[in-house]
Amino acid sequence: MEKMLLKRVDIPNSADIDVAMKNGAYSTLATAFGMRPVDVVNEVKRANLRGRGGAGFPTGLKWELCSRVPGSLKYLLCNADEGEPGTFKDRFILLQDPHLLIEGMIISGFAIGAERGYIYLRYEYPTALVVLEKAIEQAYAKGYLGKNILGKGVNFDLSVHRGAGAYICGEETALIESLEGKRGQPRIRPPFPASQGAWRKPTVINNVETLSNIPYLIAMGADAYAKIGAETAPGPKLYGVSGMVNKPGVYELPMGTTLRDIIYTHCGGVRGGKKLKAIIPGGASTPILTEQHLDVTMDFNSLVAAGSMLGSGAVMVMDETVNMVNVAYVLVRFFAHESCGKCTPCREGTSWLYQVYKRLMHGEGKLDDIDLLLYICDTVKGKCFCPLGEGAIQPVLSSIKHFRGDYEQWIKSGKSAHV
Amino acid sequence: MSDQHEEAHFCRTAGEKIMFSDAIIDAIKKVQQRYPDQQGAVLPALHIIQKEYGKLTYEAMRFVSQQLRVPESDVFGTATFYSLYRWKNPGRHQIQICHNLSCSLLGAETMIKHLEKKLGVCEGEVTKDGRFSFIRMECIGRCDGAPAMLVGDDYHGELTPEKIDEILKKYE
Amino acid sequence: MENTVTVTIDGITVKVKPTATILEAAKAAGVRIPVLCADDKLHPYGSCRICIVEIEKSPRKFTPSCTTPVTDNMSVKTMTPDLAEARKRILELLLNNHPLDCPICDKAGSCQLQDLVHEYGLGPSKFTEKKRTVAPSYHSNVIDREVSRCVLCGKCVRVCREQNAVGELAFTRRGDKSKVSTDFDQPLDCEFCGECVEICPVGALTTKQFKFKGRTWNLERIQSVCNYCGCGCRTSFETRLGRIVRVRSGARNYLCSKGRFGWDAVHHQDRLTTPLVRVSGELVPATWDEALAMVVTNLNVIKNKKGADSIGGLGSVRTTNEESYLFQKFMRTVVGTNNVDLLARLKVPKGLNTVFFSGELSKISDHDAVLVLDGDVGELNPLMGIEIVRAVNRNYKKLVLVNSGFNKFNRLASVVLDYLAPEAALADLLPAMKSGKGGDRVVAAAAILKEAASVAVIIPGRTTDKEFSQIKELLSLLKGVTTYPIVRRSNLQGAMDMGVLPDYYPGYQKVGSDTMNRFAGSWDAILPEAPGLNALEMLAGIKTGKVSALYIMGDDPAGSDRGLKDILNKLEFLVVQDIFLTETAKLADVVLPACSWAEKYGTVTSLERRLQQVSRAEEPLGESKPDWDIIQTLARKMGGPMHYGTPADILNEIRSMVPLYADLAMGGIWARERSPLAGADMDLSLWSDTVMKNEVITADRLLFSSGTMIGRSREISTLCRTKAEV
Ligand SMILES: Cc1cc2nc3c(=O)[nH]c(=O)nc-3n(C[C@H](O)[C@H](O)[C@H](O)COP(=O)(O)O)c2cc1C
Ligand code: SF4
Ligand code: FES
Repeated sequence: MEKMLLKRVDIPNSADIDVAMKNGAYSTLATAFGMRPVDVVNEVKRANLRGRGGAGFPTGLKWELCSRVPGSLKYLLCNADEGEPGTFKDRFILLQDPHLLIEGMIISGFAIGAERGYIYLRYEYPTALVVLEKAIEQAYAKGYLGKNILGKGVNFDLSVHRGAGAYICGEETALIESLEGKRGQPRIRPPFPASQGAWRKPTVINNVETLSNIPYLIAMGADAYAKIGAETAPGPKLYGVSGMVNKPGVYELPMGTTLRDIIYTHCGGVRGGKKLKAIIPGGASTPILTEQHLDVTMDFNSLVAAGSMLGSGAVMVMDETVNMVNVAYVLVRFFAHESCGKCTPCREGTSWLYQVYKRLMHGEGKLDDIDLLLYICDTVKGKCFCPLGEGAIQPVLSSIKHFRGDYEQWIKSGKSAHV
Repeated sequence: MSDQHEEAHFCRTAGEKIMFSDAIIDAIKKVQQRYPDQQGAVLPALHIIQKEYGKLTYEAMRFVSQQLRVPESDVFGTATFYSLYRWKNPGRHQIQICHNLSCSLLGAETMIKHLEKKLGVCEGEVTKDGRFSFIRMECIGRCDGAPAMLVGDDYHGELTPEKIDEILKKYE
Repeated sequence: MENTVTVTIDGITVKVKPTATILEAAKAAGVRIPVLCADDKLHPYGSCRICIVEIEKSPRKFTPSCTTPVTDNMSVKTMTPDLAEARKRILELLLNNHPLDCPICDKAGSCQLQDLVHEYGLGPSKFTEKKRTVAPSYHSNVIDREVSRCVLCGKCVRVCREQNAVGELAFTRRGDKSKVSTDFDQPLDCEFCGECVEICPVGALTTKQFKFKGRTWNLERIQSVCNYCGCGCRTSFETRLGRIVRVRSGARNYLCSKGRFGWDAVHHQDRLTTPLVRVSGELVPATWDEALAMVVTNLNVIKNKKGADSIGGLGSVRTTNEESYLFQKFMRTVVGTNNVDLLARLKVPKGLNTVFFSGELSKISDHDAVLVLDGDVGELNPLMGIEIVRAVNRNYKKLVLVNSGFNKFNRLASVVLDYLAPEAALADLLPAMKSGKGGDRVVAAAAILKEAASVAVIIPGRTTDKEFSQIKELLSLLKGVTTYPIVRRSNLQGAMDMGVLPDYYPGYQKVGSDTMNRFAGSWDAILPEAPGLNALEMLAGIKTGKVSALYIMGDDPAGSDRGLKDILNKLEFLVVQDIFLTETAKLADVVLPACSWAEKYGTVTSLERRLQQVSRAEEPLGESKPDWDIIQTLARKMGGPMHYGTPADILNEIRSMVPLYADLAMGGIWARERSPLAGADMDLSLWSDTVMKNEVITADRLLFSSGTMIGRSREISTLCRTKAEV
């Protein structure tokens, strides 16, 4: 497939507006502004673009809900929190092609009627902060941001809001709270952000990759776009592959490429020719799969059918040498650290899980602890306020399901890992 | 594990007097204009101060509270929610090393042990010469270059103990 | 009629508003769903997850009922074996890190966690790790926080913000390290309303006052009314072995610091327990007979020598309606003078009961906009303050604030008019209302006020003539106005209603020949014809020798204004009837010990003009007696026919004499339309440039200062930092 989202990424200096423009940046603005906003929304709807941030919610539908709310003060937020462990795809766009994102945001803002946008950028991307602020400055200088863009009466202001280290702020309502200068704890829904979001105004939140699709989608039209990749969720997809593969990195492939293709064709297979043991297909909160699942296609529906999720498309590969107890430990430690603390099951459950894993890792586990872990997961399951808590138990459940042997062996060995 | 939420961290920093310069006040006023209300500027204001002084103190939070007319407890609650506001001075170069899954699969723990030995300090501490400090991080979005770390704002990936030694030399 | 949806809860079908939550629908169906973090006062929050239910045909197994809106034909089960197990598990999580120190916890017996754990029959936990250690307790004035007991439901944090807009408490840190803190974990430094203590479902917040004073199941509860300001909050006295140990909010469901903690003044050592008479310059204990005989003799002597009009009576804003009524009746019928007044009229808002009548406090938040002309409202009438906060935070109404300083209302206001005095603000606002021109702020304020279909206007407790006329003009430009004059003194409305006024009989019936004949007939007495001296004239009269004796009931002019000491010293004879040996009482020739409002029955009338019942929670201290009883005993000794068995007898007489009270039910509000003063362009307030100008404020914050009583509350005095003369 011809590269779209990553087209400019390899061009040297493509974060500079002149370079980017020479390679097509901002060329879709005129097309978009030639349409009515509602037609832009309909085009996105027709293309069946689904959000790339994790949940896969139809983007057009989200936009429609927001654009229908009367009133002129609306916000467009770009979710560049990229906190899901294993995920780094958005970073490529942020660092190398910020103008793609900015162009996408201008068009999206135009479509939903928002004149103010923010990019919620994670703290851990200090370089991206510099790049983005520069890019925004350049876009203002060229008149792509600000008042009366292209003389078409479209206004759009954009700034970066820097996070401060909290995974939960990737969740859209927590992101809003954080943008408002508060603790990043998720809000009750309804009201959904589309009707009452940032500062109680209608708000759309989209992932970096989602928004970056927009200029191409509008340029090529919904029909052509919908032909790319899986039928249920068309479009190009950025897969970020890491762990024990020969060529880790971000790969732009049609939605619905198989895991086998990704790992063996594109990433050059498992390091050192070792045997594959486990795959996390979509970031830390998606259930672990095994080599049996290599032929599952990487799209929303197929992965759910296989018992996991596409999430952010962050593939993490583990070979035969890996101790799955350790994997679960690392991920549970992460979730316990990142639980926002609002709801009882997640706050207490992740913390309890972490303590039990710590015990296991120190060689003080008992075989009964496996059941205890399942008991805690069952306690947490289905009761959390937001998806974080639910995600936190996935590594535990799936690692025990597929690799109970690892647990038994580790506990019986009485070994202790220094962690 | 990186634990910035320890009780002691907050309680000991009180009493240090920091004068907030006009430059800082101006920077905060400027960033305020980006938001429809004053509270929106809490995070950026804290960033501005942390960037200038290396860490946050009670005075800093109280100052932000007064500048933005947000209750002190709110600023305190917000600041402590996030794991990357600092309560202790870091070294001249703060090393943020990832210990999440992709990095851990490729040896993050070994790198961390190496750092501890090399620098002679534990996580969160500053070397005697004040040059380095390091903290563990959750995923820093550099999994493709695992194991990875940030020194200040610079990224370094595919670490090995030898490579770490080389990198550290570059920082005075 | 708003459209409704049909919901079935455990087989019971109800119709509810489409915006209702499942929890609300369940309440309507009479089904109880257990909750920890939900509260009617607060926005839904959904953190504890105890309230989960099962919805038929839902893809989710469990749904939180407190945050989920109903949909039409939804069918909900609130109790299934799975739900019981799920709730048990959540309780297990909450107990994992709970200290389980119930034996020494003040909340035991009324702890929601304890009750739920008991209800769900939770056994020993599978949790074998070490309990989390959080700093166990933080002490501050009045309130202690035992953080280790906290279940992080956030109710205290939310009540402090949503209801009171103080924001003293906040969640800090994250995940399992989350905890409720103040700013930088310092001791509380807030309004100390104690609402956080009241709303805490467990024992994480407790009052020092009640610590180890009693088990909740051993307490008796007596409904009464707070005596500290005009809001007249319902309170519940909780007693153990006949002594008050705690006060909690009654029907309206909130209280301020004074209402909740200030009651301990009634246990103060300064309380008078016997009558005192002055013998060779010293006040010495005496029997009731001796003391009253001395009053009778002296008043009769002066009356005979100089006439009844050389005697004056100053009534009280703290006594009950019945007592105020008897006091003026005593002065008019027994002493024979109309010289009866309230010095507190210096604090009556101009235009009260004539141009301005107060609306119901709970309806402030129904108005589209609230205009606050005195930024101190939250300190002067705390409950009015809370209702203003609720208007903004709960009902999303607009607030226009005139305030020269910065306080919590500034954060809530849509527009702040930052002027030194209302006069200047109004001078700009009025033209903006009329022409739409002016500075940005006043124009914005004018736009809000003009757009609003209804406006609640908070009237300052004290205004200049100019401001008064400006306010009147402004009101004529607004739609749907309800006024809320700030009335600090507790039963000021009642005392005025009862005719403790030199020119009005009870019920604002003007002193004059017509009314005089009617009252004279009913009271069976000869009444003086001419209006009496007002309070200021009486004080002035002392200097000129026109007034030789004063009978002061329940007021302390010398305590509030040291300058008045010299004047009072000039009197030939001074009787003071009070519960404390006040500065004024120290000057008296006879001091009569009254009992406190916690020791007697009667009624009071709040600034809403609401009639409410005061009830006895404790036996009168020592030989003290209720004011009404003292007055009638004295009256009988002076030949006046007063024979009342109980305050209820007096209230019956009031009802027969005062049309406003004729059919006023307990808890009801007398209608402004029936007031003989309604619409009259006149003024019940007094104005003096000298008297009370240098009022002694017993606290650095208006909120904690209310003179004689509050100054003797040990709890409240811990909240005051200074004693300042303002
Ligand atoms: C705990 C949690 C963390 C999330 N983190 C991210 C994130 O880092 N980046 C992101 O784009 N979406 C994240 N999401 C998904 C967002 O909530 C939201 O679905 C997304 O930003 C919507 O954009 P999209 O429709 O374009 O995917 C997260 C969700 C949850 C529940
Ligand atoms: S599941 Fe609950 S505690 Fe966890 S992050 Fe979401 S709201 Fe916070
Ligand atoms: S896991 Fe280390 S950078 Fe992502």
